[in-house]
Amino acid sequence: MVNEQEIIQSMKQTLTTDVFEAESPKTRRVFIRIKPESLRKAVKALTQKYETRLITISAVDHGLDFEFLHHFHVGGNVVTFRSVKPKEDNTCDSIVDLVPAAYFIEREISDLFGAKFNNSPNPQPLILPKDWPDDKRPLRRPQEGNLPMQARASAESLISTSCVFPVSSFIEKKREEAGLPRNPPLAFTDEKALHEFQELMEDAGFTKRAGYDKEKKRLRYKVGE
Amino acid sequence: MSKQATAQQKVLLYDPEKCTGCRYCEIACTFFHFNKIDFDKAHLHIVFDQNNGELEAIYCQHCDEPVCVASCPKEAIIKDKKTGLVKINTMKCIGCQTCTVSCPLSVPWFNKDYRISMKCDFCNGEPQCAKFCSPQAIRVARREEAWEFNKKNYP
Repeated sequence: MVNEQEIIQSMKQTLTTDVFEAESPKTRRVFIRIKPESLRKAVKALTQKYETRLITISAVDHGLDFEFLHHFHVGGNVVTFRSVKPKEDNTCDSIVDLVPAAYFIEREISDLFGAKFNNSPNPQPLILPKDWPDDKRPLRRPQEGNLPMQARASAESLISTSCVFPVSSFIEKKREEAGLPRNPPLAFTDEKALHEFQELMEDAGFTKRAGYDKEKKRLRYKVGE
Repeated sequence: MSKQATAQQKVLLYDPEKCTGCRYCEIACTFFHFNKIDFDKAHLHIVFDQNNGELEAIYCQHCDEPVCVASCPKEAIIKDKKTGLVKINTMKCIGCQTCTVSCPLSVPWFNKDYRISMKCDFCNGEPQCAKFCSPQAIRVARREEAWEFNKKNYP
């Protein structure tokens, strides 16, 4: 008999930095959040160490990301590996060679969400017709974040330049009356200040929630109509 | 439950060699629970393999460490500490069917009328399937007896 804490400890030891978070919200239930690239490593480690049975794989479309949940039955416990992959990538590692039972589940997910499984032995449609268009998947949501259309441009501008709108003449006048310079000091004129501002945005979780791409310096989805 | 209590727990035991495939157990089950005869609503099922003529029953084993209990997101399924029976609390169940997916035998089934999952509740201690099975292919036995039976018949 194995308990949930033993599984968590064992997975943490084997996967070390590949585990982001491991928790057991209730008795005999374990959630392990892992790096998506180490999914196969995690499944291999679990199946080699314990007698396991694949319950199912679930996929959740969060709009900008896919979350894949691999549920395993390990000695009366239910262990779930959660891995999040950006939708731009649109792939997940196949575990069919490690757990053959995943074959039909992966094909079904591929049909319904349009996510491709790397090294899948037969990536043909399972429940949809073979000529089903790639861009219209029954359970796939549009690649969009939480922000409404009218707020997207402002959010993008705010995160990338720390400035949303130009200061109006009314505000300029008021600032002058208060003995301040007409325009406030802008963060984007100072590299250090801008960096500090962006760090604050990231700490507050706004960058992630808005779906901002730091490398491309823009939102990960359509900003205008 | 201690190991001794587990060994003494009452469970259902099915012997495919005695079974005639009459499905009277399913009739008794649905009549007891729903007051009508509907094979889809039975808590146990007799499966007939046409290729080799073998019969097998799918019924709740009231597992020692039930996966349905572990997987239920609303803690609607509990394992009774005294009797060892696994039961669904119909007031807590949200009908997500996680128990159906997680159970190795898919014993809990989704009742479309009530929008909740249902499973064998051991008929308040007197299982109707065992009571009405004339060849006694399905009967009530202690778990230790079931262990021995399974070890012998499913090596």
